[in-house]
Amino acid sequence: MSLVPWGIWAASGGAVAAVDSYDLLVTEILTSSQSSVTFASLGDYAADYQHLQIRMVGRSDRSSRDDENLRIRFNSDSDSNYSNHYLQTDGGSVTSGAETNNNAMWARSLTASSSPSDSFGVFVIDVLDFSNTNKNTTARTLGGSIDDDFIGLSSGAWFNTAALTSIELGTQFSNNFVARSRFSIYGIRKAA
Amino acid sequence: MAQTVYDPPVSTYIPLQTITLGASASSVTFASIPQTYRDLVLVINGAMPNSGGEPYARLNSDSASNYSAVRMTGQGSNYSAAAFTSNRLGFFFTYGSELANVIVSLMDYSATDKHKTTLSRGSQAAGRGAAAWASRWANTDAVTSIAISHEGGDYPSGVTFSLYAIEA
Repeated sequence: MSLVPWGIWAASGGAVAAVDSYDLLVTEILTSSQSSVTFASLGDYAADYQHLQIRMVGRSDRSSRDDENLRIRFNSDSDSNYSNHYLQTDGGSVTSGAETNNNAMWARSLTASSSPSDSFGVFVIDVLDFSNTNKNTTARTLGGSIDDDFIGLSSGAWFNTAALTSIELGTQFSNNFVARSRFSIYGIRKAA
Repeated sequence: MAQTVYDPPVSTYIPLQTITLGASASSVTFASIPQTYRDLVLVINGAMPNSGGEPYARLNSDSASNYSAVRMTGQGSNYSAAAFTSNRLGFFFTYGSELANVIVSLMDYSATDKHKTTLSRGSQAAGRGAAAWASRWANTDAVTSIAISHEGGDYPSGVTFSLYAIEA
């Protein structure tokens, strides 16, 4: 068995993947309940970054965990300009579906008050070509939670070619994220 | 809490270690994992034990029934799902020795205020299928070690295990 510490490769300037290609931009860790989290001023990143990734660990204060999904909106748009596709399971059956004319993108699923106290839902959300004004903006999410027993792949489209200036994360039923929920956004750099 | 805006942004997704098997091995362990990051990403790539089964991990050497998982798997036109508790952190199921790859995100691994939950995607592209899993370790301890094994026996020579860390 050989051990390869990649950090040394990077330091030596060898032929490795470019460094500084994945950057932490903003993090918010809640110390009290909050109805939504917004990453604003995304236009500040348009010159340097091609794609965005959000990594989050979240829990809702809704009494029931059933169907408490993550709500994603771009540029404060709450009109029916979104569509979703999903492939998911609750451990019993695999289901898929499509939703059109939504007022947000949805990603499953958050834990809630009925879940064990320290259990959170987790999400990795990729937002592609966020500043490109020649195409509608799309996102894909891998999300899951245990106790709600959900794992799901979802894709969403926002039918607007505007460059993203903000991303708002909330809960489907307008409840609160509880303290300890964590939200981070990263930028994936443009090619030189 | 107010947002922390990193100006300048902080380069992250740091490669911590890659282990390449020079001979078959029953397990590999990432130990003394630094606590200065928030998420870990584990990548496994290579041939799998011929008898099949779950590649899995144990966190902090915990072999008690403190893990649970939900999965969905597609193989050709067939698909299946399950949810279960276990004495190990599952993230995929392999069939036969064909090349497989698994990418596991372990979220908030260094936090001590929540259980640890993973998101995984795995595939054995040569006809064996693809899957997504979520798993949880019902323990609030920070993760300091990850021991990786396979239900079907030894990992063959040549399998790579890479661990990356992400700040938040």
